[in-house]
Amino acid sequence: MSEEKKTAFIFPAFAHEYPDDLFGGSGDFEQIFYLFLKQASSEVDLDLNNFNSVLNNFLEDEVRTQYITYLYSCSLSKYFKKKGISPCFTAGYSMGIYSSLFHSEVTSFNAGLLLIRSAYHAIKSITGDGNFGMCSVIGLSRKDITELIQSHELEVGITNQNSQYAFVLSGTLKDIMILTDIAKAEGALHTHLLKVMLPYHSTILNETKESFSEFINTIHFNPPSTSIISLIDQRIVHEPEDLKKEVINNLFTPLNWYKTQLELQNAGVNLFIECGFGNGLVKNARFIDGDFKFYSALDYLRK
Amino acid sequence: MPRITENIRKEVKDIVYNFFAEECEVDLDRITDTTKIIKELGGDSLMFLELIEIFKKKYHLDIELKTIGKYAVKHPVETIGQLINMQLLIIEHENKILELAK
Repeated sequence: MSEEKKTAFIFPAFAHEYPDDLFGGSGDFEQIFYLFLKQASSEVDLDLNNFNSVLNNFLEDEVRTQYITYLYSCSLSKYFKKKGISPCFTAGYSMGIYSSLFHSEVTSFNAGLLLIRSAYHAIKSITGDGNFGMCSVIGLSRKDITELIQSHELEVGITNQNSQYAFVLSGTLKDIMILTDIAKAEGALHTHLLKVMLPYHSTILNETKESFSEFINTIHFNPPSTSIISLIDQRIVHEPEDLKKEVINNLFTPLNWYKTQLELQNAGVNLFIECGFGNGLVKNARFIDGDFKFYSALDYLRK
Repeated sequence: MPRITENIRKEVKDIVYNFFAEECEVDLDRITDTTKIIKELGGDSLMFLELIEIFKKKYHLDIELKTIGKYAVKHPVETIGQLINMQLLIIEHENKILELAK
C-alpha cells in the first residue's frame, strides 16, 4: 500500500499564534500564500493586506483569523499538491471545513472566503450583542460534564470531543465561566476559555440554518476529488448536496474529532498532517491510541 | 499498588526529567527538582496529562483522572520535585490518594 493511500490532511479552524518560520523556508509556499492573500483582500476584506505574522495581527479578530487560517491552509494544500503529496482523506476540524472543501476541489478559493463571511454573518445575526463563549475541559468524562451541566442548569453544551477526556463546550459566556469553575472543583485537570466570542457548533445557532442555506445554494459545489469525512457523524460525504448539508449543519451541530480520527485509523490512515499554523491536533493525538504518525504541516515539510 | 522503592523513585525521576527535557526542548542539566514547570520550562497541562498516562500504563494504575484533578486542586504542583512527589503518591495510593488530601 502506498503512503498516499494512508494519509489524511486535517484542516484546523483558527490560529492562536503564528509560527516564527511561517513558510518553513520555502519560497514557493510563501509565494502561493501572498497570492492568496492578495486575492482574499480584494474579495472579502482589504485590510487583510496588512497581515503581519510578527505583529501577530488578526489573532483577536474572529472573522479575520478565520480568513488568514483558511488562506494559509489553502496555500499549504496547493503547495502539497505541487510537491505531489496527496492524501486519501481530508477533514475540516470545526470551521476548517472550508479548507477541506478547497483541497478536495469542491469549492473554489473565493467561494470558501464567501462561505466564511456568510457563516459569520449568519451566526452574528442570531447572537447579536449577546455574550457567548467556548471552553475546553480536560480530565473529566462526557458523563461527568453532562451531569455538571444538568445539575447546574447551564446553557452550555459539549460541542466537540478531542480525546477520551478532552472536550470543547459552547454556550453563554456566563455559564461557560461557571462551568470552568465547577469542572475544576469536580477534578478537571485543566480548563481553558477559548479566544472566541461565538458558540460555534452549538444548538444555540440552530436558526442560522435558513439564511446560511439560502446563501449556500448560490455556491457551486463539485463532487470531491479527495474523500471528505464528516466530523458530525464520521461518514464519508460524496455528494455535493450532502456536502452542502454538512457545511450548514456544521454551524449548529456538535462534532466529534476523537471518533473521526479513530474512524480514519480504521480506514487505514496512518499518517495525519495538520494543515494549519499550529500543532494543536498533533499534541492532542498523543491521547489517542493507535499506530500512526501525526505531524504539523511545517514539521512534515522539514522532514 | 506497588511500594515505593528506591528503584521506583529513581525511575520516576528519570522519566519526569527526560520527559520535560524532550517536550520543552531544554538540556537535561538545566532541570532540577526546583525548576518551575510552567514559568521556567513552558510546560502545560497536556504534558501533565501525558505523564499521568505514561505512569498509568507503566505501573498498571487504577486511578481516575478526576481523582488526580481533585487532589491537585488541594495540592497544586509548581515544580518538577513536587510533580515527582505527586506521581509517587499516585503510584503508591492510586484512587485512595484523595484520602491523603483530607
